[in-house]
Amino acid sequence: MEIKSTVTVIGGGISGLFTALDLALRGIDIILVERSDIGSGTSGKFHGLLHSGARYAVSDPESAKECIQENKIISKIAPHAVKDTGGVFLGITNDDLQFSETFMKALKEVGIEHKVVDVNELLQSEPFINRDTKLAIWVPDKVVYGYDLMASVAVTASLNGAKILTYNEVVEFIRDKDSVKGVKVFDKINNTTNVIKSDFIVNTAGPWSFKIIRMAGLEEIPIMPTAGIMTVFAQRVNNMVINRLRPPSDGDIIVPYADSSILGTTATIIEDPDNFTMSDEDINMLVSEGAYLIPKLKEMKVVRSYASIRPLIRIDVSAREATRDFRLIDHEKENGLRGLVSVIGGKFTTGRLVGERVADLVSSKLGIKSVSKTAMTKLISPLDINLLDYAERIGIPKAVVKSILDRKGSLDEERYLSSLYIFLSLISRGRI
Amino acid sequence: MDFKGIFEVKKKINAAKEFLTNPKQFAECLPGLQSYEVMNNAFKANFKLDVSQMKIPHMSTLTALITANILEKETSVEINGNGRSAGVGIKFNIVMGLEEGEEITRVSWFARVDLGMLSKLLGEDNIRRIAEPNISHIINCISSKLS
Repeated sequence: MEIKSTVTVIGGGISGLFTALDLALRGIDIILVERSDIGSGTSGKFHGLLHSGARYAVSDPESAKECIQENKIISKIAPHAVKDTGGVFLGITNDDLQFSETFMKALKEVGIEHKVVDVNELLQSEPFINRDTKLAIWVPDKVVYGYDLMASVAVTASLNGAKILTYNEVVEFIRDKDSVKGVKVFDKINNTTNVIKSDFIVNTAGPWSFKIIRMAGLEEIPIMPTAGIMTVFAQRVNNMVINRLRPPSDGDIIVPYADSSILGTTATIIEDPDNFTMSDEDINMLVSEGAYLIPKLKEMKVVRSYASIRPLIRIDVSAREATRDFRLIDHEKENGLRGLVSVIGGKFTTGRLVGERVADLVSSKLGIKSVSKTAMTKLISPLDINLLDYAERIGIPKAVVKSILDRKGSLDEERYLSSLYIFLSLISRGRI
Repeated sequence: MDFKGIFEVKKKINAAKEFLTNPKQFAECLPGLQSYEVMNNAFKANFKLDVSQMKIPHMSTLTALITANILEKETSVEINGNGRSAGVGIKFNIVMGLEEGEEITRVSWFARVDLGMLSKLLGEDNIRRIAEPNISHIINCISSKLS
């Protein structure tokens, strides 16, 4: 079957979803294709932190400014997906204390709210932190429930005209000399192949972006994938996000995510993002580092580990914007190939900003004058929609939807709440 | 990758050897050292490597765990080690030839380092650019402690 759209976005992670939403809100006809469910790549495997930017204030102040801006915007447009836990940086060793002055100066320059907190008072609310902590600095870190936010973006985009086609994998590009004209996708649910003809393609495939670029017939960008390993502990041992007061390194952040504590992360160089295994050595190293912050971690059971894959561009290739968190590659300018833009890098926290920048570029290339509305658009939550009305449309028996909704007010209300976001994702799933 | 150089210390050869074979004495000279443990002629060390030049957005330093053996000969000291950082295996071999002069010892050193995939990511030129100030720091520190 052949479908037409003005723009096709490849990749259903946070950047792709916000790109789809941004374009849809500008009235641009858009289809998003994702080879699996939304958030099944890097966006579904981070640690759940909605950055305040404090972590980057010294090493990358521009990125830090973006983070604090987005932290505030996401909290405003999706309060249902954000938990305002606050965060704290712990200074434990003399090196940490030496770093504190530089750190606080950078926070002030970037404009990130912060304050020194009394360690003894902190120990009352965070009894498991290292008792040798000498200095603690509060920052506005928060926790964001990843799938909840992504499902909200997807359904808001869908109800504003975007078609979100999950389980549709790009298998071929359609080119006409120096222009990209569309893509062929394989629908894994229906086992059919469809052609999507588009004026513009946006590649937000994360660590798989370089495969998409190669599929478009371009030379491979020398990207080296790295794995960020996270470990999940059986018990939640912190209420705030706990960070180490030092330049960002491995194992220096613990996020209180729902009923667990998640420790991250590493930068493990790997060959193939689709085929790698985590080593016990790397997990043990991660736990050893994390135990400086919360010594109890060494005794606790690691329930599971998982890894998010992030692409690094070889530094001898990228002389420009070396400190930026994400970059947009306009392939018309870079390679002479019209109709394709790729996004490399980015954090979950800045996904909305990526979408805004991409939509600005695409609109401009399409000759459409428009501005982004995502910073002011409240995202749809499960409470904003009558899910029963959508049950038939998403092919789920009303009884299933009702039995989950009926948990409200019961002992298990919180345990079943996250199921509602899966419904949102299904509602957003476009039909061809 | 190979590195080499020569430096002099203001001590006789035995004193120089004693320093260079005792991690408790030379450990302070190692940049980024977080902790170490000595077992006979071997030592285990935990380093924080400054990788800010790699422009990894979420990392400025990486943990490296190294185990090394020290071999003392009449006029040389050899350190062989391996370890892991960023999920990559690292190997190194350092040979320090010692030649006694008048009230000084001349140290001719050679180091061979295998950084695996880290070399692919960083490129040799960048590794040298990162390594050279660290090597100068180590040599200056050793020279000052042995003067």
